[in-house]
Amino acid sequence: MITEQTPMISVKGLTKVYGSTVAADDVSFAIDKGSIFGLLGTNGAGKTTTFKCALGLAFPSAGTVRFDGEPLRPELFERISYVPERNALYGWMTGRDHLELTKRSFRRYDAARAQALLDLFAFDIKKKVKQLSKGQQSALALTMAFSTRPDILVLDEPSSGLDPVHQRHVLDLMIDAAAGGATILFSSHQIGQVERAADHVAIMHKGKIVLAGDVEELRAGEKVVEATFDRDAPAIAALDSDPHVRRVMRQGRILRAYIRDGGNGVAKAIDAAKPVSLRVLNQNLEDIFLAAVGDDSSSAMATLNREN
Amino acid sequence: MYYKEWLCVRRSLIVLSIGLVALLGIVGIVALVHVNVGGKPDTSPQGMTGFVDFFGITALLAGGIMATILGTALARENDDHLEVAWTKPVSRTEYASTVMLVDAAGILIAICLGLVFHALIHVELRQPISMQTSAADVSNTVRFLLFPFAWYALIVALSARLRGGGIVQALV
Repeated sequence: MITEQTPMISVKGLTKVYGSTVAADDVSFAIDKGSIFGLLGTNGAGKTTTFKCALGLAFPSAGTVRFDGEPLRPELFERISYVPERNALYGWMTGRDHLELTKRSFRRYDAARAQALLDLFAFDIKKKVKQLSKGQQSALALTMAFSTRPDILVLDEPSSGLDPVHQRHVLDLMIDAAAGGATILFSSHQIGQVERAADHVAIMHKGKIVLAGDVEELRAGEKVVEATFDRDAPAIAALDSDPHVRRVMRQGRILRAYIRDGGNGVAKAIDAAKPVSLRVLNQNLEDIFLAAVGDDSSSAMATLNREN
Repeated sequence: MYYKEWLCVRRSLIVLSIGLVALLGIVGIVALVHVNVGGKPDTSPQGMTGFVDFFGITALLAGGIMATILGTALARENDDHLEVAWTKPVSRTEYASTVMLVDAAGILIAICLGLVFHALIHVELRQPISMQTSAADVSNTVRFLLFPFAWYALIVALSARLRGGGIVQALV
């Protein structure tokens, strides 16, 4: 993403090495004010490591992080809220205690906003955190994060454990906060949520960012030709030499060709192999994600398809 | 910023108070059974407890117990709470210093509570405390007063890099 204004979050060449494992490898991205940036990746892709390094919770091996043009310093946390992937709340304290802690720690704490969030998530703040369900703990963490009206929100799997209704509330809160000028960096395994909320995404795989860009542009750029055969999907030589074909995936009886323009010629080439069904689909974010990270489980999936 | 630690200190003080009240009750029952409650207290120098002994036992017990409980304050933050503790708009040095100051205040309150309960035990047992002190007693009193804080500092230093610090508490 190339921007003229100073990005609210700028990560350049971030690298984190644990022993012989490179958890984050030269990660770079920039997020403009008021933007919602989704970080996608499989488990262990390096999303949480990136968040932790960005917020000073882990020391990066290399790279720089800037918030609104400044390196991270404690005072900046007045403007930043972070919801970690796993519960970091104090089990022996009540929800009310946590909100009091937030109130005493952040000058920007807004009691009316906190009450509105409590009404939204509807859980008992008199209970100790250890007595709350995972979803309620997530709701408490989100209430604490949004109650300070931060300029920057870093949310690592914010909907984890929440029911579908509250997941939608979280999306609405994010979109509402961004509309008010907040900048949001978040990760989620639920690609549908990312597709709905984010205007930009980056896809991480094995510590690297393998694809990044505007969600609409990424979706508009490619289509998928999907064919199902009554036998194992055959290798079609014409696809290998077709300049429009970016990638071909064969999983048992299913063949998918990811194409950029020129879909008719590709569809004809596949149709010549006599599939049972053939359709051309607009690519969604899930297709883009799977194409970007590859599918290490494709051989196992092919076996399952054959058994069916 | 210090609110969480104050809650922790308050909880520990409540537990300590319950323990001291229970102890007071036990001593009261023992006193009723074994001590001649109708007799006069022995106010001779041999029969009185010296102030240094009185203060020292209290500081060692009440202050020491409190210091052991609170000494793992930083280690407890390491136990999956850093995402909350380290994302506040204060420096980590300031945060840790504040936590330790609140704990020190808690230890001081524990010693004061201990003194009150210890005095009540002496009343129950009809054992007067000699308030006569010498120059040596003053320095010994100061040493007893400082002991819980030194103990606290030692446990903080040993456990600060651990997760939870329970192993240090168990060892000491």
